[in-house]
Amino acid sequence: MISVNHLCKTYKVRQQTSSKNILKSLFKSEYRYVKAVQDISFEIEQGEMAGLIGLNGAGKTTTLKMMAGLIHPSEGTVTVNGFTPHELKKEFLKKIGLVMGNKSQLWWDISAYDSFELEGQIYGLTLKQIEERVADLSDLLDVKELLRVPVRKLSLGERMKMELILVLLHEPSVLFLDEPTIGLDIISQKKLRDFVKKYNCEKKSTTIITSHNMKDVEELCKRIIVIDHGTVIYDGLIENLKKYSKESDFEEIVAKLLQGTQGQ
Amino acid sequence: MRIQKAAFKLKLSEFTIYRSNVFLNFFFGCVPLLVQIFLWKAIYGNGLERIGGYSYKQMITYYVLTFLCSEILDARDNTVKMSEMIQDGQIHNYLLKPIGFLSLNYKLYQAEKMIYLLNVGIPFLVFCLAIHKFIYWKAYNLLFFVISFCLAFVLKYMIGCILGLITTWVEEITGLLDLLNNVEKFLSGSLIPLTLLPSGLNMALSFFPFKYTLFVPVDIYMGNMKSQDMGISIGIQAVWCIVLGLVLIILKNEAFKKYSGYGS
Repeated sequence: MISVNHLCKTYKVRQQTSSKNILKSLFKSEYRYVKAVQDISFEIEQGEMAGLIGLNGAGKTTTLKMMAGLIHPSEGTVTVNGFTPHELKKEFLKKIGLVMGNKSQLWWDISAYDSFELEGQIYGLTLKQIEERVADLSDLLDVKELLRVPVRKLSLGERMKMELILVLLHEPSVLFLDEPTIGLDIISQKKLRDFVKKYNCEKKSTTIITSHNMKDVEELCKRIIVIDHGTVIYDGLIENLKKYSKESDFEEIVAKLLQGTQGQ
Repeated sequence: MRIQKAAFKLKLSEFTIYRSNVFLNFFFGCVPLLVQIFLWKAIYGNGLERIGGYSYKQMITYYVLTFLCSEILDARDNTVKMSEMIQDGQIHNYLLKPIGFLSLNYKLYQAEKMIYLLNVGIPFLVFCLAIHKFIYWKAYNLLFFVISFCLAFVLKYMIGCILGLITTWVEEITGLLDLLNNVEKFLSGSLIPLTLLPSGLNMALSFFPFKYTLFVPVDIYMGNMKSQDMGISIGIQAVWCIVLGLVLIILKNEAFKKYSGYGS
């Protein structure tokens, strides 16, 4: 279970000075404070699949990073399966998996299988277990023939499937997916979604997805958490949102919801 | 050990891609060494028996050995990579592994260096045989040299990591890295044997770690140290390892507390 209570994150960002003040900036830097997340609270049950939606810079990825333990919250608390993520305890790390659409975890110049072997060993799997799991996952994702191809020679869709295999190798019970279908064609997007759905059904993993692709969220999640300017503006079932909206298209509904807050 | 083996295998696959670069860098690195042979031949040609306690053969051996040792011990690439990973957020890949960031990084670093040594070892021996007339082969203290070399390896790695982690605070370390590199070249005895420096300065260098990253192991091989001094030098190396190890752990904890991954 994931529990997020009054979570806040403020970044201290160094300001680029104008050419007028360039000499001054050599001795004194100017900073501004960016409130990326402001007082966010929600709970996600074991086995639930929830979508985090919002505009660029809304605070989705920051929230996700705090749940995964990559960054420390400025205020508030997060617990994931009873662990405080940013303590990065081994037992916690063994149970989570994070896929970031714009960050590769694979070694670029060598085959994905080489990366899988190291990854498996890190998580204490035997060579046989690694072989079996990679065979199963690559079969499901239809990339069996590409396991020995250098990663840099794979297409974006193929690479993303390999990223998923890497992260799922240790069978995490909590899965964080940050824009997993970014840049993929519609067929690859569908295959990836079907796979995530199947994994969630089989392993009963808790899954949090952030995406700008509403199809991802609509197909995979029953519940969405809409974030805007670092705060939650909607937390509930997609079904309810659809029920009380004049629009029938989910993307339109979310756009209206976000435009509403932008206008305020 | 299993992780170390997998890291070795991964780095070996990666090495096959870059092998020509490694060999070319190594062979072109040998050119300045040939210049040193002729330069010191001219200096010793004036009837000098010993300079700074070194005979001509010892002087050439000193340069040959410092060349090989500095090539193996060079941690610059690791520092630059660590710095880039912090800047572009790729460090996420290491942070979320249940083995610890430094432990994984060190295992990969060690594997890379072992592969490098295995690959340049034979060409280096051929090179040494080609210039065997100028080489001083008598290794009095091979065991002590190996111990001292291993400690120097750890020291260099830790200095590099400390510098890499500083990126969390200063964002850009290239200038600092270049500065340290040049200072280190001089203070570690890579440019000239430290015994050629005024005794006061040589003594002052004992209070910095750089001397122990190159000069000490090479000097032990040359048999210039009494067994008591050898013990003291290795002891000081070990103390530096502990001190820098503690600094590194504290710095790592502080760095990841501060790390924001903002924009990545």
